[in-house]
Amino acid sequence: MTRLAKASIVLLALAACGPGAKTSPVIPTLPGDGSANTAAPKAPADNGNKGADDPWAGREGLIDAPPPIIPRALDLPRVDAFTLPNGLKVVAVEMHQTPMVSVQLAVRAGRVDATRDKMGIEQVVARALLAGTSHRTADQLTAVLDPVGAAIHAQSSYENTLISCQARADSWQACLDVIPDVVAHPSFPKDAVDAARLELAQAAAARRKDPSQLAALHFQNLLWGDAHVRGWAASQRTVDSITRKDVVAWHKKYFVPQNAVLAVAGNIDGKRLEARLRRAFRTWRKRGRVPARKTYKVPDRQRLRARVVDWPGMQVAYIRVGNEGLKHTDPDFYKAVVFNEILGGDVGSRLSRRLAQTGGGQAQGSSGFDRNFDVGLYVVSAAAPAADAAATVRAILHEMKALGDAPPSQSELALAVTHAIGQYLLSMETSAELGNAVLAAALHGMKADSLRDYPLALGKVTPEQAKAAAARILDPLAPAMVIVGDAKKIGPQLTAIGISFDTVKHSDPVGGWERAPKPEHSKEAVAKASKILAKALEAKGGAAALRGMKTMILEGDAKGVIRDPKSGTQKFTAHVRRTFVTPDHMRRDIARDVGGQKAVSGIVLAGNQAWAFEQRGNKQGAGELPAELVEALKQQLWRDPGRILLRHLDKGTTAVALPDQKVEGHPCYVVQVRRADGLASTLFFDKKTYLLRRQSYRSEDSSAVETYDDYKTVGGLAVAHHRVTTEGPTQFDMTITNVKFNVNVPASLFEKPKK
Amino acid sequence: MPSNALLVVVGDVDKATVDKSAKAYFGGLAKTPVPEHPAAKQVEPQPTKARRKQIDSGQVGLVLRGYPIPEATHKDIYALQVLSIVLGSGPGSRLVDTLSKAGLARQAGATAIVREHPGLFLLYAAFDNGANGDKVEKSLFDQIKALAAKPPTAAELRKARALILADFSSRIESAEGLAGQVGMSWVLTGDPTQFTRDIAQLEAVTGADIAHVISTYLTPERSITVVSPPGKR
Repeated sequence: MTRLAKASIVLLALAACGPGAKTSPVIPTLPGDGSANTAAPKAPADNGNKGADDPWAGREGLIDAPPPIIPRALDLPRVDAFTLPNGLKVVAVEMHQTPMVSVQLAVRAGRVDATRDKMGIEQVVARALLAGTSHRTADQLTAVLDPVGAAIHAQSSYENTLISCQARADSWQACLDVIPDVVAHPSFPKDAVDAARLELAQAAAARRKDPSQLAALHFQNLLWGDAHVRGWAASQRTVDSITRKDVVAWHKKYFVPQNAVLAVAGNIDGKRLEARLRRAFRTWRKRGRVPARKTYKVPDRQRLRARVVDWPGMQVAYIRVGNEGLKHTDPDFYKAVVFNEILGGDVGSRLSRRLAQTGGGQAQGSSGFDRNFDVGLYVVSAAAPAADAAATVRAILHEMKALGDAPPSQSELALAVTHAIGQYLLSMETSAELGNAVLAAALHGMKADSLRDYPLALGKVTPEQAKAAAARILDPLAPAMVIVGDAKKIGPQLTAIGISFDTVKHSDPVGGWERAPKPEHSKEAVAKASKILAKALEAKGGAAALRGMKTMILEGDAKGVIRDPKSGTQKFTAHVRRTFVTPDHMRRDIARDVGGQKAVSGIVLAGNQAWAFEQRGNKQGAGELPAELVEALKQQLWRDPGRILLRHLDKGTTAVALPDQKVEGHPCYVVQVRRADGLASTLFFDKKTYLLRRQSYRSEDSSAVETYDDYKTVGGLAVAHHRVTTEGPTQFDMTITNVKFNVNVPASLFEKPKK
Repeated sequence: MPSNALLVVVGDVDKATVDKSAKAYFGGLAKTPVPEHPAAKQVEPQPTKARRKQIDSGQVGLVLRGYPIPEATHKDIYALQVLSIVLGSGPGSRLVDTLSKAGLARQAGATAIVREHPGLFLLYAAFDNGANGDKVEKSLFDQIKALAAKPPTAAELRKARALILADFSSRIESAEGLAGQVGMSWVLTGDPTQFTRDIAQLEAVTGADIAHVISTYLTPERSITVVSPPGKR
């Protein structure tokens, strides 16, 4: 877990304690959108069943559990439905026992509507929607809501974009003052769009750094494939391609009243509601047609396909196993709810009991399925010690098969139905929850009666029906399977149980189309690369001279630019000193003036350890860097613009020539150097001088480019005295003022600071 | 043990059924004296000078500044809770306006952590640019000084009251929320109905009350500050 995540959790935990006077915003969610896939596995219920020994077995005097709930129809208030003159459908629920009113507007515009190259656009639109309108700034909108304690939120899901507002019954007009304005006339200020893009890119990057979330992303891609929208995920690349023009066009296309449903629930006057809503939404005019929604073919089930996402050193294996599921309107929907409770619901589910016996009691798992308009997924999510990955997979497949082979007992079924109904009732208490439910029903074309009769429908499911539905929907012989963890530990286990799999690195892009094609390793391309690199080494000063460089100190003045849509463009100047000691020691000292005080900060890499340090006045501090940053620094060292010319001579490293390109007008030869583990860099050599002009590579989740010019000979080696590094929103422009080779470097520079 | 617990039942039930069920499922637990609570006898030492510590860098920079505050039953708690809203509850609050909107911090806020025994008034800010660390820290102090010099405006107090009322109404909308309020009220004050009187007390807080708690509890020498600078970008 990142420090940011930890700190945020601390802050949230602190804020949540005590009676607290803060507003707790209610953010209703819409059903589906893979929440089953992205939720972390639930911890197994502590029912005392640890392993095969049941500590409660044979005990007398135990309390009898209450009898199973008798399903009865939900006592749902009347749901009124009508359509405004502009085509906006409305569903309304009067609830006079609550002091609140919830207003929720769903626009049928979600991830399913995005194109692959602009994944995430629906989220950018949702995030920027509340940033102001053509009539009011964001502050002016806030000024309407704040004095009455109302809260508004916008978020998107697989199928829809939801704008929700909650307020006390005596002041919910504030919601009607704001929602129509933001949905009809958003101004999408450029800085808000940029901030939304940045947030989305950061969220996308964070998802890929969380092994459980990464498992979810890969599972979607493996199950649905590269041609299905569910197999795509937002990334830095897709977010970078989203422009304000795209955002405005998206809004214009989808945000029409005929393409939306409004739900109002709470302490409202139903008789006056329609008139109020007509007035409130009068400026949101019907226009155009309801945009058609693209449909995607559900991939045919084939054989079991498995993907291991290698995360070296990970002690836990994050597992996803599942299939395509069903539509919300599937006749087996209620049976699926019941069999899902039995398989991987909460209390006493088969998975939780079985996994408690796997992995020394440390494995945990749960199951769930999407509730979408089109076919969603069914997935079992689990986490287990890496050494027990295969055993956990076997346990999951066994339970999936068992449920389809034999009906559950009546008591097991009754417990599952009771739990499902109980959870349902608990989710239908507040105005926001009830509003959300009627909204979801309206969006999926279901009547309010289905909400009322949901418990009855569950109660009608028989053991045989649960079994038949499980046999139809679950396919333990041909599921998709993803495991994120240490491939060295997990791979042999899977092979031993006969599961063949593909392996990708955890830093690889999720989608197959995002992974750069490997260069052709034709003999001609390899030979050409070898010639180019030989000449490049000669131009540099020769391989012997380069190898003879045991220490190097580079000093210079740097100008930095960091573009942050939230905080604007930050510029800074610094004096930089880089110290290298072959083979694996590197230090970077950055001296800046901070508020009139000299501050020196930097990083040190010493073999397999690294730390960051800072000194300001008489205050100093240092902190050890985590393994992934140590790895990033080692990769920097590998890419050093001098040493990179020697890398192709390392065992297992290949070099291939790519088509020539121009760099800033200069014709260049292009060579890609790739290490055995896949680390690669593309080098651009000036055709006249054979000096390195540019180097490009992928760094974590973004692309980076370094350019070199102003070469001068120092100690027999050609050294670029001007370098510019551009990586994501950051640019670092350094002019070198001093270069020394093979000077004495004190060992103390690489001594780890004492705590 | 039963003497140290409160069972709260909220929902579509009647007293007779609850009594019967409670006796059936909990009646068999042995009666014991109320256990000692050593914390009740502890006297919280009052800080005499400001303390500050810088810790390891994180993915983002964090400044946390805390001030010890009294226990939940103290009369000053209401003003402290209102102050936390004025200072740091979303857009329009002092810290958010000066720090987040100015681009110094990506997030900022304040909260009063109220406990059965002495609690903590916490201000926080998360920032990306290491060069802003000092400005962020200073800003946290400055906002408190500004409120000490000039109390919150009538609009700020109105907004705080509205937020308190909306939050309370939202919390008690569900059976679970209401049960939580009852239980928390009992844990913090010993009286499960205290929360029903809290709203009126919170709504009655004035600018003078805010000035009083600032000068009593949020003085520089009572502050504890922890800073984690942002790490490598």
